[in-house]
Amino acid sequence: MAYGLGIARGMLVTLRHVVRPAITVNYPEQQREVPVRARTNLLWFEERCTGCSTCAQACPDGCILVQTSPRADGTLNIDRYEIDFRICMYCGLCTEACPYQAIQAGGRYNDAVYVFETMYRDRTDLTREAQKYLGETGGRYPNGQTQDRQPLTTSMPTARSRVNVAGVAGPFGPQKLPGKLDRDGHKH
Amino acid sequence: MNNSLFGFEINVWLDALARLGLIVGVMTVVAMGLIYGERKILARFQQRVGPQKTGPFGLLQSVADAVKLVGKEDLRPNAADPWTFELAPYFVFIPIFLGFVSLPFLLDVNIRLLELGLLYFIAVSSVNIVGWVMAGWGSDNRYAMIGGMRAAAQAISYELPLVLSLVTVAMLAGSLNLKDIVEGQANVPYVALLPLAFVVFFISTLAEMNRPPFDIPIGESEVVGGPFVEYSGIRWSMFMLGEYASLWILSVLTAAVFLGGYSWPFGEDFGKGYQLVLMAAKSGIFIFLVFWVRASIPRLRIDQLMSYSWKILLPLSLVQVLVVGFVQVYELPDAFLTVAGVGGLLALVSITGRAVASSRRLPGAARTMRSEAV
Repeated sequence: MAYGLGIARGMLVTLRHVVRPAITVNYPEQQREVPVRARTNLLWFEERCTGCSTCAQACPDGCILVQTSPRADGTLNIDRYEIDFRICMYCGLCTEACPYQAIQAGGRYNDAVYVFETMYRDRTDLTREAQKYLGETGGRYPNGQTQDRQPLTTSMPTARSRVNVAGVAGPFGPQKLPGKLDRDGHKH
Repeated sequence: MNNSLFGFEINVWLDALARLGLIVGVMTVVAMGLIYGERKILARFQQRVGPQKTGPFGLLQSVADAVKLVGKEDLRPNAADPWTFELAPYFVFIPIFLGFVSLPFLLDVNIRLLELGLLYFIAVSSVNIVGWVMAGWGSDNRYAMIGGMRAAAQAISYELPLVLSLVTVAMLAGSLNLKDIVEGQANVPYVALLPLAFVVFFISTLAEMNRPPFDIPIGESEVVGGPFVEYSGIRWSMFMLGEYASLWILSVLTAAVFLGGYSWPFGEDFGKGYQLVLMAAKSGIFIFLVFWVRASIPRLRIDQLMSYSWKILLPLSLVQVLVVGFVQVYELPDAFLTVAGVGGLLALVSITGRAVASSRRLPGAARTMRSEAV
């Protein structure tokens, strides 16, 4: 390389930045769109939950508390469902473990609070968060499913995924794992 | 005894006082504008937005900063040398203040045109290194001390190429009066005749102002601010003011000495408005270059810095002086100067490239230590 070309090239690079639009945003006023599969706050959907406690067993921190009592028909009544976000590390293992995708990542990410203890969320708080989310998205869960129609799709593709990944455009695009069931349950 | 200031006849002492006030006022406003400009332009270079919340487009950011700095407590470490510590900002500030006196801003718009203006400027502007060393010594802080020593080494090294490149200009103009130098460029600016001298001058001014990539005396990641590390409040802001004021006066000097000042390309008959636009544009180009270099080039190491000055810039500027003398004595055409200058420029780039490309040779003692360690 000719001498001085490196410096000249570097200075041209910086000069080119001048005419480009800024990549920063004024955070509190402007906010970037959160990617579809961003691992943000956990949302717990009461209507999908069967109280099986798989999430609580999958949690490495043990921050999920589930207390159930059996009903007459054999299903479980959820007495308590509480998540201690003070010790949650947002690993998302509970979302992968849940067979019904009743707990999903995708809530808000600005989770700073003034009182630390308010990060311990009981059933009422969690449901309020979930209902607020569903109200904002028009009844659409983070994994792309809607409240009226719940086909077998998952929001987070993993080695253990047995079903299609929700076909929403995200950072990884619509994904299909080979040899799995598609949205309507057909083999392809 | 009376003097005329803007057409008014006033007492000499009042006149001097008014001119001093003018310098201080203009310098403060311009330095604040430059700080705002640097933050905005540097932000654009990094694809950021820069200050925008304080006033319209963030224009009042510098004012807010100044208010904050003045309001801060003026701290002095217990172990610091009180006189040295507290006088150092003045020793940095006053030489820059003095440098203003002889600058030709527009035709007949200046504080005081001196017959030996260029010599005066060079003599005065290099005094502020005393302040840097005082700040480094007086702070009783190791980082400050290292920073002060680095500043002294750097200033001494880069003063020589700076002065030698200005000497070539003085030789061509046949005068040290800045007004004559500007007049001599009515047809062709000296940057066209002395491209090598201009580049050497530009690099040396970067080092004189301690701007990146020569900001090793104040390198944040190495000596955490160097001599300024113990300063706060109004004293620290005086250092900052001095830094940006020196950026401005050196830009005006460059515009006057190399870029044709107010006389090229329209001549001196045009009105003050044209001259103002010309000078603003020319010094603006210089300032933009300084910001651009800051945004692009990483900081040099101390040994690279020293060897670049003594081994590359100084010999080349000496050769430039010889060539100019040769051309003047044998009355060769000016085109010869341009050709020689471009050749020297190519030599500068080539030698710099070679120096960068060759791997660093350790000194003998360090080499033995390394081999023993391995």
